[in-house]
Amino acid sequence: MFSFLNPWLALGALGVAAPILIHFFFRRRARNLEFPAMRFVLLSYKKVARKLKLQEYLLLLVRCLIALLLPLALAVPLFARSVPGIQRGEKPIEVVVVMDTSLSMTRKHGDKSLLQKAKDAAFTWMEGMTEEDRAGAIDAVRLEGVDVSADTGEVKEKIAAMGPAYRPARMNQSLMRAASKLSGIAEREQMILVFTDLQKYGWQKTLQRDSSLPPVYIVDVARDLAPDNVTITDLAIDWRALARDKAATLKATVANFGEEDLRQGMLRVEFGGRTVAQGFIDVKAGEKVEKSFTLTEVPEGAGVLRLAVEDGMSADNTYHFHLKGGQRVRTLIVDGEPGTSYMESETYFLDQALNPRLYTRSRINPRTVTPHELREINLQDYQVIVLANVGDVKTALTERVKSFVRQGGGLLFTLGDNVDADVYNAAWGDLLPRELRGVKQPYAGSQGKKEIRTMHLESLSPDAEVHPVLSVFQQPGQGDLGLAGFKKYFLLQQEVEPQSRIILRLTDGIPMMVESEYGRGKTVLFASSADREWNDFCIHPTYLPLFHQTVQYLADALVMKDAGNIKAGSAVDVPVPSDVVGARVLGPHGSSWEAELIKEEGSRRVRLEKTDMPGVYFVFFRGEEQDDKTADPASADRTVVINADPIESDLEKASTSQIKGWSGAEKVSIVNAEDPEQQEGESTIVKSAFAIHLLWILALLVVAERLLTRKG
Amino acid sequence: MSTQPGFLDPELMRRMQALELKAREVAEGVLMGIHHAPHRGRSIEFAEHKEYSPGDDIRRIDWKVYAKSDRFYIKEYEDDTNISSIILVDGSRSMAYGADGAKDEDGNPVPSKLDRARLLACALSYLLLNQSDAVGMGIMGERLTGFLPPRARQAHFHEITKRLAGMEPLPGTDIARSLADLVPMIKGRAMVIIFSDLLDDPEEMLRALRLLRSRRQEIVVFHVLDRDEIDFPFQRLSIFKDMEGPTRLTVDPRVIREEYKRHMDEFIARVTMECDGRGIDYNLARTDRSPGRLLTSWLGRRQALSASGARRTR
Repeated sequence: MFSFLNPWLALGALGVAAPILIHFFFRRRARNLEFPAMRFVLLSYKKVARKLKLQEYLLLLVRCLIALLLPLALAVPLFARSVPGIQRGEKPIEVVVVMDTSLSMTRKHGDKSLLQKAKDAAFTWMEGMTEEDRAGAIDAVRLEGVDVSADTGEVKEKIAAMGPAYRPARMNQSLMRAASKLSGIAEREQMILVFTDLQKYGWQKTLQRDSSLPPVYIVDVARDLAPDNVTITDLAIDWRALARDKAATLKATVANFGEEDLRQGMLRVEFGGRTVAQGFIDVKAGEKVEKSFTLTEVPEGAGVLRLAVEDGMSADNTYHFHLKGGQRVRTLIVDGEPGTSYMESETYFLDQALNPRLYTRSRINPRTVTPHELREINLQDYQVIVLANVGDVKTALTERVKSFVRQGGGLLFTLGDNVDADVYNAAWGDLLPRELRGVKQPYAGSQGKKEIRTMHLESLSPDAEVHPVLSVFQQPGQGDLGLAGFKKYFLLQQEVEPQSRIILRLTDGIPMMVESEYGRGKTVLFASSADREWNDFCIHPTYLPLFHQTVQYLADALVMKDAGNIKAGSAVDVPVPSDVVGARVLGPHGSSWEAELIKEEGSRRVRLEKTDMPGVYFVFFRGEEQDDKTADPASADRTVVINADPIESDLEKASTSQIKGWSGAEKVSIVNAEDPEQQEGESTIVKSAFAIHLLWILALLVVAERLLTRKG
Repeated sequence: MSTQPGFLDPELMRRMQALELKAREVAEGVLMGIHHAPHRGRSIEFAEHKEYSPGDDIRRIDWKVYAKSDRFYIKEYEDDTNISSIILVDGSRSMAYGADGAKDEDGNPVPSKLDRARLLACALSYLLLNQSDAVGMGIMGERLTGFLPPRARQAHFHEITKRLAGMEPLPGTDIARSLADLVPMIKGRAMVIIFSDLLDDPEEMLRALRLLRSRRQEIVVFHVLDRDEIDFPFQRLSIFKDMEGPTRLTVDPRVIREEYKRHMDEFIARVTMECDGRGIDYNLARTDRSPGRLLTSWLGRRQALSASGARRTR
């Protein structure tokens, strides 16, 4: 069979008539010339006449060929010959069944999903196999399978167990793996049988032709199925965590991949099965729209955007997300130097910053006490303790505080004149992120002068990876940390093997704020004072958000918004505290498993790999002396939100010629899904490289034409 | 030609006067050139060649002829008396060809071959008559026509001029027949000076020349050719038409140029060789060459030849 990739260009081949017409009817006008030495003219012509005639006809032929071949080459000819459906020959066969389990195969065709239909077609075909035949199978998404063997029963079981995946197929890798499972021996007829809906993204990555692939037969189970589908492709959450609550805005992007417009489609925001917001959307065919929802009462936990429409594929009509944060943080501030008046106390500025009282809905609820009053207070009633310039560190206090942090509480140290480095180091021990090394007061100029130099914090780069406490400063308009000036601060022990994490530094590299873990809790050390004694930080606008964020961080109460941008099937690493020895994962639909703990120098994390299903995954940490927690999502230590890859929502099918160009196989056939031994309409082999040869021939013809006209 | 007997056609008169004027101009120029030439002579001295026989003076062997023909000839000199010259001009239609727009060495428009032949014939007549040689003329066509017997009178110049000016292109050429017609008309020995493009049957033409030469006539051939006939410079596709027949051919001249030039060069070489071998003085007269220089060169050559050691025999 013969066809063209650009058929309309082939019409240019009619131009072959042009050289012929020009040759016979539109020759150059000759001038009349009376010439005396006619005898010599005749003699000369006689000698070259034959050669001239030959040259003339040769030139005509070359020009006709150029006029004919140029448009044909531009039209890209495709030679094909029919290849029948899967015809059995005399030899036993060896086949690998490649099953497309991508999300698009969850579509319904009649009362069955395409995946089920594909399985049924595979089983039907395999019933015709004999005892001498061999079969294997591969899941085209997960690339898992069973090797080729005589046990076709095992193969059928494997195929039956293949479930849908929420991500695209990987057809080229599947074909390569399938080919590697075949023995390649001549005594057996080798083939690969692919059951798929021909959704194009599963095929697009195939670029390299591989002549070693055996014949590939593709069974299109989605024949005559319209590619209608509307889906949520993206979600952006705007929820800023500062001193006051702000409404959270959810902006969803909805795409219509179908051929018909969507009118009055319902989009809902749900938490815990309850609709908290909803709205109608209209999306034209082939376009996207954005729909925003504003939540004034921001719930916490797993949420779902749900598109309530009847379309070709419902599996992608939900989009998961997770919101955390906004709960109140009970904070106990211990004033190590209470003044005679409130404003003179060590903790005046800190108290004002954590609860400005200008904003009625601050999440932080601080209570300020003296070290003496601390003895009567149950520390478990609080989530975070701030020890502000507390010099009296009796053992009773230190033991209580250590226990508090060990059990998950957060502790913030701010220093001052009351703090003695040796006493602190001895009293607090490992609870301090770093040992104190003495007070530093930098001087400017020569040693004889006593001019105190003011040091500043390092400013943050907008693109740098920063501690979660500092993330708020990367948003525009949050001020410059580098403006605060420090005249006095504690030097901290240098660590050869870092056990603590530096949050802030001065411009000369000296750590100013460091963090460490202690048991299940965290400790943050601020190496200067919280008031104006040692620095002017408290009068800068960055003071309030820094300590706000620090307290919320210590309470695990930082606003966390997960818009679910991680795609199904992706491996996710979750950092874990140092005392965690294991983690259990609670997946969507109640699945549960033990996650792999990875320990590397400087980091510990658990890896989530079984993320095929969209939804919220809850991670529960486990310490050495800890039993498994009740799998209550509310008590999860971490959450990870997974959504389906939206690329699978575009149901556009690859064309037959595209499949043949992309598949990499030399022999590709599309066969009848109902009867794979029958050939579909245009199942052929395509060799499109012929256009290159035509162009080479044309180049030679042009050179020949030039040579002939030059001699002519 | 005048339609009234005894009266000249005014156009013919004009052409005659123009031709005479031009011929005199050329001739005067030639004479000037000869006077300044290294080899002088009282008059034009013409030598005759005779094939060498044992016993002849070997000092009179003409080595130039030997170089060209590989044969020994000696020069014999006539008495220093005036000889007759007969100028023959080819009047065939092919002589009417002239390249359009070309210029000769002197920057003058290149004339047709016939005009060039006429001018050269006229100028030569003037020169010969000036030194009291008898000059006659004839027109070659299919037969010899317009024959004027040689006379030494100055007034004969006008008659010659008149005949030449009044020449019209004749339909065909038969040089051999024309020369054959001339033979009985020559009394005694004469110098036959031929102005022709020689585009005739080469075998017949050469045979006729050899015949004439065998009758001990001095023959000088001025082979008049146009630049186009020699160089074939045409570029455009052309319908070539024979000027003396019905033949026509459409061809791209670039295709046949190489072959044409080869044939033309072979033709000229052959005629040259044949003439040199028979003691015929051959001269290629391109129409884009100055007529004065052509005649000066030829006359100078002949003077040098006679002054190079020839001795009169009594």
